[in-house]
Amino acid sequence: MAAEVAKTVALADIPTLHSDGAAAVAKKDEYEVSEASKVAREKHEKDMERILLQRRAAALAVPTSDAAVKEKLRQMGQPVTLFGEREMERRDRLRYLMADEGGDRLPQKQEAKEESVKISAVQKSTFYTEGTADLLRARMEILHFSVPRAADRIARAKRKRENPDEDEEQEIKSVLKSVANFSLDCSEIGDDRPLTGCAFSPDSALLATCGWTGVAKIWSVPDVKKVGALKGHHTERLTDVVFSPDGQNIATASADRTAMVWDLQGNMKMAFKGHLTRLARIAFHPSGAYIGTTSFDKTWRLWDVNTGAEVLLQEGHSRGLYGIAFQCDGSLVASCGMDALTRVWDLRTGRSIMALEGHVKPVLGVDFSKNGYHLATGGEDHTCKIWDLRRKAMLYTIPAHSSLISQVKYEREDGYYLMTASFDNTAKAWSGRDFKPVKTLSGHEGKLTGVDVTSDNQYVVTVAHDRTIKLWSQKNSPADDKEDEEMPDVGEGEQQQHETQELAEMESEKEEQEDDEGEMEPPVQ
Amino acid sequence: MEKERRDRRHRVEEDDRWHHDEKRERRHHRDVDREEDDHRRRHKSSSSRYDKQEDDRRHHKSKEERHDRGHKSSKEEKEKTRSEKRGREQDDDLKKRSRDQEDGSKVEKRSRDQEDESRKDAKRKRDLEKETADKSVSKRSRSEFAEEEKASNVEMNGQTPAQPVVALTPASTPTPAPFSSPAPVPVPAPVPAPAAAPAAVPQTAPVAQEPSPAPEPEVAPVAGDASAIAKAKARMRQLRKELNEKLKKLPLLEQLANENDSANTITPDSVVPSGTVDVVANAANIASYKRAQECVARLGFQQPPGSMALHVPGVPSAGPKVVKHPVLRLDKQGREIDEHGVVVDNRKSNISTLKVNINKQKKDAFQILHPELEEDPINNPHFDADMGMDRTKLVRQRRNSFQFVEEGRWTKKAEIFRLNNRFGAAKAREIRSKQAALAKAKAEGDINPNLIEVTERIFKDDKQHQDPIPHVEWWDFAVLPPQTQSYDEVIDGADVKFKKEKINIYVEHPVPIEPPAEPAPPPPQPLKLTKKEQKKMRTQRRLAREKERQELIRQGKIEPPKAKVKMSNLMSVLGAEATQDPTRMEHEIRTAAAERERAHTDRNLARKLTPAERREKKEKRLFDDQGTLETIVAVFRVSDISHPQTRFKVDINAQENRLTGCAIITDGMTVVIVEGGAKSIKRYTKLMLRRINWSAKEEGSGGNEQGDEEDGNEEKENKCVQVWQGSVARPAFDRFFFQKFHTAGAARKYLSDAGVGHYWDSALHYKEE
Repeated sequence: MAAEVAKTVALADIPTLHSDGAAAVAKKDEYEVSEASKVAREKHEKDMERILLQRRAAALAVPTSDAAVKEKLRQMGQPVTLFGEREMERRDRLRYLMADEGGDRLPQKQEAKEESVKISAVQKSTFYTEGTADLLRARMEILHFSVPRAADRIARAKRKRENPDEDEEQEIKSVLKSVANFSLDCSEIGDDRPLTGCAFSPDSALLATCGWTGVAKIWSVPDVKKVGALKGHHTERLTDVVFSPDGQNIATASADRTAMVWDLQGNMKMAFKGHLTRLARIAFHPSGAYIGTTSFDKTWRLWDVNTGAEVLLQEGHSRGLYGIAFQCDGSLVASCGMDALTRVWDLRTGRSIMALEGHVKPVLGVDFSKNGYHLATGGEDHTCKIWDLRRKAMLYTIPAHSSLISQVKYEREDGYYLMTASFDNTAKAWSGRDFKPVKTLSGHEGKLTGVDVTSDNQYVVTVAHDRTIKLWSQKNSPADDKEDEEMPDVGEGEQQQHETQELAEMESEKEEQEDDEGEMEPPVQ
Repeated sequence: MEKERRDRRHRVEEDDRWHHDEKRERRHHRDVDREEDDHRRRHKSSSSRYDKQEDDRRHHKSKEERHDRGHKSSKEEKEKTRSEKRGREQDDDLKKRSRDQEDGSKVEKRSRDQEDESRKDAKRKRDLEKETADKSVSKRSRSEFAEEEKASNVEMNGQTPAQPVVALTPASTPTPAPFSSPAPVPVPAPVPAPAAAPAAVPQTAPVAQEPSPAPEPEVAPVAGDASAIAKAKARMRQLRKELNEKLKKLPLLEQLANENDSANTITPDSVVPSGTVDVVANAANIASYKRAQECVARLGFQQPPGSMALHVPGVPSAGPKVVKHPVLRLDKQGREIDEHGVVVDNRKSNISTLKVNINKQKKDAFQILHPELEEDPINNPHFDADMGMDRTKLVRQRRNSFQFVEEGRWTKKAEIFRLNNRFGAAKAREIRSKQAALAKAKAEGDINPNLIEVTERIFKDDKQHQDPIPHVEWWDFAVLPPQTQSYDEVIDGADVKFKKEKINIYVEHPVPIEPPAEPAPPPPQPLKLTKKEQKKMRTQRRLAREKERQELIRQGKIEPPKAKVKMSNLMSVLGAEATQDPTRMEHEIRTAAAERERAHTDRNLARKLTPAERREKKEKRLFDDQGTLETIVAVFRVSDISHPQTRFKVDINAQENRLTGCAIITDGMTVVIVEGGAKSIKRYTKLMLRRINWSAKEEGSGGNEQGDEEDGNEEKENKCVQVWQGSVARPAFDRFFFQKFHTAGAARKYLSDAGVGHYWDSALHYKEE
């Protein structure tokens, strides 16, 4: 009886209820009802239920395709089809079944389950897995390659500093002066579609470019005449191109998830397959025996050029990777990506020795200085950051461009200056010592995607989405007196003072950073 | 002893309360005593001595009887004993004092003292008699008084403010008030005028008499009805009769009074429950009242002229010997009122608010006390006044710090002297002012005087400051054998010694680090439809709803809607019904139409956003950056920001766009740094680069326009360029402000302290294409 009363009240709550019906219901609570009215009331209830069901059913999202309808029916434990039933009828049947059940709660539950699985998959601590025998061999090789090179580099640096005849500052000054005189030498349409990468050969005689057409092209320097094309094997757009250290091979990375090594004649020598998604940048190890590739599958991989084997598959980034660079000794490699993080790895031990946090947005360009311990990174936060590996600290932040920085390249010989290419249609040269701007190369009409410098510091090449290759040199520059104009618009004496003051500031900053070193995260060893 | 202490406490309170009456009493004494000032003291001491004897006697008695009587003590008795005690105490120390004083002038005054004392004794006797008389009056029933007062109130209606009075203690009784104020009184005061101003009619010869009745009511100058006077007279007669009776019982009463020594009752009021009952102080009180008054008078309290004064019975006076107690009267609102029904303001405080007085108080409180010298030079027998010694100087405090002569003070003086000698005063002044101006221009602003001027950098010295080159890079050191000093140790031809355990087959999987400012994934978007599809969907929805409704109506589940009758379709809808009572129908239709319209406007109003919602919506439009965490920074370089209008624009727009940052102003260049959300930065960039007219000249500088024009050609145009725009993890400043520096170095230092020195560098080196 109580339940019945509750039901009637519930029905009375329905706003669309007939007023007479409501009155009858109210009466019912108090008096015995006749058989006829009881029947009438039951009928009314049934009608209301039916109406509500219809409403619910009309609001439901029911699968449209017959296969999905059948699948759903099977899930619900209902007959997939009835005799003589057509698709529309089947769908209607499903609709009313779902409405009866009270909505489509089932799939939501499944989704929740998937999500929880995802959350539990987040890695909590560092772990190690066993690599291949190739890896161990490669590590030994790299060790034997890198230590003598490091010894050589250190000895050279010491010699340079101690030698009274060698005035490093003067050298830097003259180099920067020549860079400041760079102007557009040559512009050439490189492809039908945007260009994505460019690289000079080590002997500065050749230039390789790649683009969205999936074809890499070889050009002569300085007249920029097409020498050859690397085509026929990549099925998707190319993302990067690079010359091997010996200048005999060219490696290309592509969005078709493969990297390839070609000879200068355009023959594909080796394909490296294994990445799960598109590749980004590619780099040769200084020994020339290995190439490193980054991909948006959150890994970078080390490949053996001669065998084509995947030596190392390295995880460690939370987002896709973009940039990769080997240190000049060959002992270290830096990888950066969409997680705004740059990791420095020791190739011999396989450990991530540094995680450089400082950028706010994805890091796209990374390069080691030829001095061996400076690392430049540039990214979507429009800044270029210089890291000092010896101090394990950030040295300086260059507010470099008004748009994202797509590539960072140090000068090849001594690292006296670095170039940044940006989507603001310019490339800029920055001093490697105090990170002052040296020269802005503007002339492109599209986003710059690649920049490279010849080892003799004679040419700079840039490629952009405007499909042109631009070669920059000192050839067309007027006499040396032009440099005076490049100075900012402040008084001469003041300028001098600014500079000296700045240098003093830099010194003090460095000292501060040294002090801070204690707080730095110790490298994972 | 304990009791005495308590008494003393009460005494203070009571003194306060009764200070009104004291003045009058003092006047009395003036009549009685010939010598006024010091004599009074003597008189007091002698009288008090007497009192003490008596007190002691009473005290003993009371002690004996206390156990018997217990709490049966009457209020008069309480009052009496208390005042006695007070008197005794007061006597004690007064005695002492007077004795001290007497010691000096004992010899001369002794005779007079004796004379006085005898007079005092006589007076005391009188007092005693008076007390008893008063007591008798107090014995009158309370109800009687109440009635009387009521009557008097009615009678004196014309003169008194007819205010309902709840007098807890009966002071405004119709009993002949000895000294009522000259103001209209609610009681028919049978007081002769001289009583109000006793000084006017000095009673030179105090006559010892019986507790005299009130003076003849006929003499009362107070305006009143004849009936009232008659009534008062009758009452007076009755009183006198009663008094005589009481007098006979005097010895007994005294006994009664003595046994009560409870001193903690403050006023007789506490015993009186309510009503208008007059309580007259008993005889024993009076002596102590007197003493208290004297004490107060000595302390210098003044009595307000119109105030109720305690009349001491027993002292000859024109009025009846009725002692007035302090009374607390409350009106209906619970405010305290005086006998005239005038509200008494008790909030009065004796704190003066006049500045003059406050200052004086302060001065008094903090008097400058000169330190005392060990030896007073003035009083020194060897002091020579001709020396011109200043006493104030002698006591001046020693300085607690050194005072150095500023550097260059004497040289400057000498320089001035020399100049004066050479060129004369006028010329020298001119030269000096020129020099000063020059020096000021040179040392402009906050340049640190200790700053060493830096010249061109010498590179040779710089080599030491360069980074030291390590013997072994630390990352190589990790893989090389321990205690490796240099690479040469480990390189053995083509072979390299290394830590074997470091080179292994394992691949590290470090914990991935999440990006710092990744925006949250966008919320799922609703299904996007073309305009046509949207229309179609709407139509279908509406049709379905209508169909369902019709179905329900057909089944009788809901009521069909009423016909929408308008004036235009009136006839067609209602037909004959409309013709029967057209006025009523029209009225109905019009109300229905109004109802429909109101429903319509209500629906529209309900859809409208509230002011808060509208504000929120606007704010969201202006500042919402869709959950991005990054802060965007824009750096601008302006050559000159001195124009107040542009400065204002730069400042106010930064604030209104909720940007933080700073504008660093130096002589040659101004750097404006702003940090904030993307939309704000976009607006601000447009302001800086497009909207502000940077080349606008200040209006005030029109005077030297011609001078400007000449070098205006050389002057470069003032403009603003955007140096950089990019993202940072968190803002470096917490608000927007202007900061002026005199040197670029200071500006650079300031910014590098804030961690953004590179903004300055980039602005400094920025070159326009």
